Amino acid sequence: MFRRHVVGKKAEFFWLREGQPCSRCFRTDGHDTADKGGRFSTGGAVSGQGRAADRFNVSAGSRQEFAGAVANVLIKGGAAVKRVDLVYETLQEWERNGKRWVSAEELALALGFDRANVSRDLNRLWREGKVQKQTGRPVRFALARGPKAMTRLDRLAKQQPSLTAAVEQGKAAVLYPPKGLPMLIVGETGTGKSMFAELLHEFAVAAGRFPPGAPFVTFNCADYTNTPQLLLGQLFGIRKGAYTGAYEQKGLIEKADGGILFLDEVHRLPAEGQEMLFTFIDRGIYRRLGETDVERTANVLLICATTEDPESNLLKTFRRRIPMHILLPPLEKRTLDERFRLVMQFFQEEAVRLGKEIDVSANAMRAFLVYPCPNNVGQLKADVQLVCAKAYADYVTGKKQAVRIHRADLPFQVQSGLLLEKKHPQAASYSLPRRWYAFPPHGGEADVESGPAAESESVYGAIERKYGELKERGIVGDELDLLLEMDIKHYFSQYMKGVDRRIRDRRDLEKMVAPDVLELTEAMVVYAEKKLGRRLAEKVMYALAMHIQTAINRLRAGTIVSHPKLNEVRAAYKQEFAVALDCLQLMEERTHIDFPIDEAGFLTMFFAFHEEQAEEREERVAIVVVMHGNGVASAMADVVNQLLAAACVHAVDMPLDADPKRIYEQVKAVLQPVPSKKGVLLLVDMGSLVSFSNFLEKELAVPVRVISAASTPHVLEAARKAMLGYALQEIYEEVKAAAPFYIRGPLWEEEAAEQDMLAIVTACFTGKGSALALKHILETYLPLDERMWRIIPIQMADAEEARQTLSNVAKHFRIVCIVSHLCLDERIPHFSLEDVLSLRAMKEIQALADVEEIHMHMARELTGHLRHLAPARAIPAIRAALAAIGRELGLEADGRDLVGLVFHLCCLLDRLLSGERTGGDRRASKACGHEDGALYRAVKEGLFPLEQQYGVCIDEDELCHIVHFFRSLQGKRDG
Amino acid sequence: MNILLICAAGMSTSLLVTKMQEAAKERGMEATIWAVSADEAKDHLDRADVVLIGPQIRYKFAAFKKEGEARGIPVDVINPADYGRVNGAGVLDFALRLKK
Repeated sequence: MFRRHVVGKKAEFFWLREGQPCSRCFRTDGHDTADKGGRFSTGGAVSGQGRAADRFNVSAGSRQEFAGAVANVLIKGGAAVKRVDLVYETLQEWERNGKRWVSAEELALALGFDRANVSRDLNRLWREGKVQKQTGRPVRFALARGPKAMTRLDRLAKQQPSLTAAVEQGKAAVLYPPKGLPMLIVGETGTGKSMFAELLHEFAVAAGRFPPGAPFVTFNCADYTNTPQLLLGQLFGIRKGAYTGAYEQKGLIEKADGGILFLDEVHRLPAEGQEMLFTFIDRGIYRRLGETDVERTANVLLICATTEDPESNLLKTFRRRIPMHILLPPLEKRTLDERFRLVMQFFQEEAVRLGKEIDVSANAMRAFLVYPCPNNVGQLKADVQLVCAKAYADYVTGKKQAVRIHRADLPFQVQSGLLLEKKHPQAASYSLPRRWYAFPPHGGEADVESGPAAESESVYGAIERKYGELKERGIVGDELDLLLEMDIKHYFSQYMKGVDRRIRDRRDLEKMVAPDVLELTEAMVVYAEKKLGRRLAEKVMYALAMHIQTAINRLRAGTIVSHPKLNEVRAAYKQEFAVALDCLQLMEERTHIDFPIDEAGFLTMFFAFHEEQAEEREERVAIVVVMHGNGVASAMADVVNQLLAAACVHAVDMPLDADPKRIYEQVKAVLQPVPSKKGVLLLVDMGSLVSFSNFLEKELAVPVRVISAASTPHVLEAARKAMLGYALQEIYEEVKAAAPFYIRGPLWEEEAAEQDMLAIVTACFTGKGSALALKHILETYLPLDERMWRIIPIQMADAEEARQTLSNVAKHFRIVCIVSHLCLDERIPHFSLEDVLSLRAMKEIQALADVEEIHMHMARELTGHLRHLAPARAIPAIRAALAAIGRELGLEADGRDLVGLVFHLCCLLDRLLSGERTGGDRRASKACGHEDGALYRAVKEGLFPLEQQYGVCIDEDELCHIVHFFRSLQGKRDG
Repeated sequence: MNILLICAAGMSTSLLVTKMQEAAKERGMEATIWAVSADEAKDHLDRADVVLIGPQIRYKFAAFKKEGEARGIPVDVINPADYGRVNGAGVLDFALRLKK
């Protein structure tokens, strides 16, 4: 039986237990009382009069506090009842009266609480295994029956049978008498180690191993890897004066007394810490850092987790003390059913968080079942969230009417799952009977608290806020979409990098550092990053916050802050010191404390810390964007630099009438005087600029890669990876995979060696026999000049080996075409075995061979004729340049069509090399550049590599001639 | 017999001209063979019996063909294979066939 105290018209309730005085008015009579059904009858003598706050003359401010405190704990003082207990007791009482399966709504109405709060309490009870849940709408709850109530741990085992063994092990370890066994959870990133530990805690409470409210303390050993003293201090506590500036501090072991301490990434714990920890495991005693005379005791169940092989990364002595090793299998070891349930659960959770129905197509669901997920469940969840967030963004911006997810909305790597499906026969046949999967906002099974819980609000709230912000700034359309998308991506990519740990760090930090100090630190870091043009490590920010806190305390206590090497620091780090002085001023403004200049010396060291520590890694791949049009490249670079808050992308604009040579020099200038040894990634818009890379590589003597048809997301991705210190090749491969119209560099770059023979390669995986048979057929049916040709049969175990062999062959031969099962090199024409055996391909091979023979002859003829040019080298270069122009213009230029032009260019280059004028007096065709801008540009840029290679300048007349030639080809194509 | 070769600038064809002249000499043929650029060609057309065009200016073929028809001179584009191989004899044969 309950009574309530009503304040004012709008009910504000205070809950009282029978026979105890009201905490509001300290009276035992009066008040509304509830009947068995949960309905109230007014007993109402008390309302708004004689309230405790008035009687004790409490100020208005604290009265509010007083009311606020009542939200969760309903009666203050010795007989406090939590709302959740009240809900539980009500359920019990109703059940005794035969009323089972009630909704949150009914309970809320009866108790006069907010429905969302009651719902949250019910879910909490459900997680603790105290109540059962019935799916359907509305969701109904009833007391869990019997002692075998299901905890979330049991539900996990039911949902993920692969984890059954782990669950049983965990339970056994928790229940092991007398105090439970320490455990080591081993599993890859994202397999759910932290969650598992949390569930074990819930189970331990539900099983009565610990009292309700027993602590569950988590600590990530990787957080303080570089400062072992700090780490041990966190763990074991610190005695005042243990080291300079140390003040008395409780350790996490102490905080976890009577509960569980979860040590994540325990392999990062230094050996000293492992030793201290096993003393604690053995004897239950420990010391704070700096303590010698005291032995402290604590009753803590230790759960450790590691991603590494425990055999190699933990001290043997430590390993021995943790007998229970629990293995969490990676996602790929789990069944499709399990994965399906996870995907369903994650979408359902999102729908509940969002408060909107989410529809997912069967195809999209299927993709989620199959795509490779190296970071396991964590990644799966993050990817589901990413997709939902994007779909939600589309909905918010009005692009879509509902939150719907089609296959096309998935990130590339998820979509790729559909391609992999063939490799997973079970997945292909996995039955997804519905065309659409709808996830209602009031989710049935979802394990989520309804209502806007603090942490779940963030992503969606952030999207809405960001949208509003951008719109206010007048940004619309595609740009808005792009920025929004990048923002979301950014958010999640951080998660994927494991930075989510930071949130936990931050909370830890918030416990240690006052909010205003934290805010001040953040402002300083932002300012310093802007001024210094680089990012400060996360560590620096934490350390700085702690430092400022200490400095303030010391100054307030009147202790003098002095820096012994102030002048040296000032001289060594001029820039950082200047920033530090500015920050000092900021600190004074905010804290109203006068800081001595010595403090700037300390700050300088924080700002400079990063540079010293990471000197090796400081060298990054240089990212240069080169785009046609005024300001296009600059705008792109600006966007990326702003998003990443760093000046890491260089831009070179290329006005349409600019000479490629000048642009090339500009690019070179950007990279000099000291080009990054890690190399350069060029991002360009058109294939014609691809040739820059070869020359840059030679001139700067650093590796250069180029991505063409690049757009802002590519630049962003490249820059982000570069900032993280990725190697050039890694960045190149990843961005290339994302670039849809990737165009390879010209073939001739790899053919510097002189090839005076032609070759057709026949390749078979099955053995040399069939390759030889193919050779025989080709020799029989192709009238090839033996003096020029070789047909080379090769045998290979795999495609990689084949490529290796090919590149060896290419050192001496120009490979005209390849006959094999697979296309081994997309730049070399390829014919299938079938087409050759049936002789269908013969005509085409003959045509290719003819063109090659022609050029071979041409080279021989010209060798005696030209004075300066070596035709054997020049002809392939010219052909590559012409082919590149053809590609740029979308022309399938036949080799034969180009023969005349190749010949002509050989002669032209030779004349230019001898310093002769070429154009004569013919100026009539000068106008061609203006008639057809795109064509003219393609030709001019296409010829740039030749000009650069031979150090010559092809004049306007000659250009026009070539432009006319290509225009006629275009005319032929267009009919 | 007068054979006129037309190419872009009149230079790439000079090698071919040499080869054709050698071939004619071998056969004991009396032939005048010379090359000019496309811009200069108009002034030379009247002196030619046959006009051959380099494949790299194939796009001018139609215009020259018209000029040739007006004068009753055969005009054609040199086969790229012969051109690329600088096959003097081959191109000479081609010219002779055209003239017939």
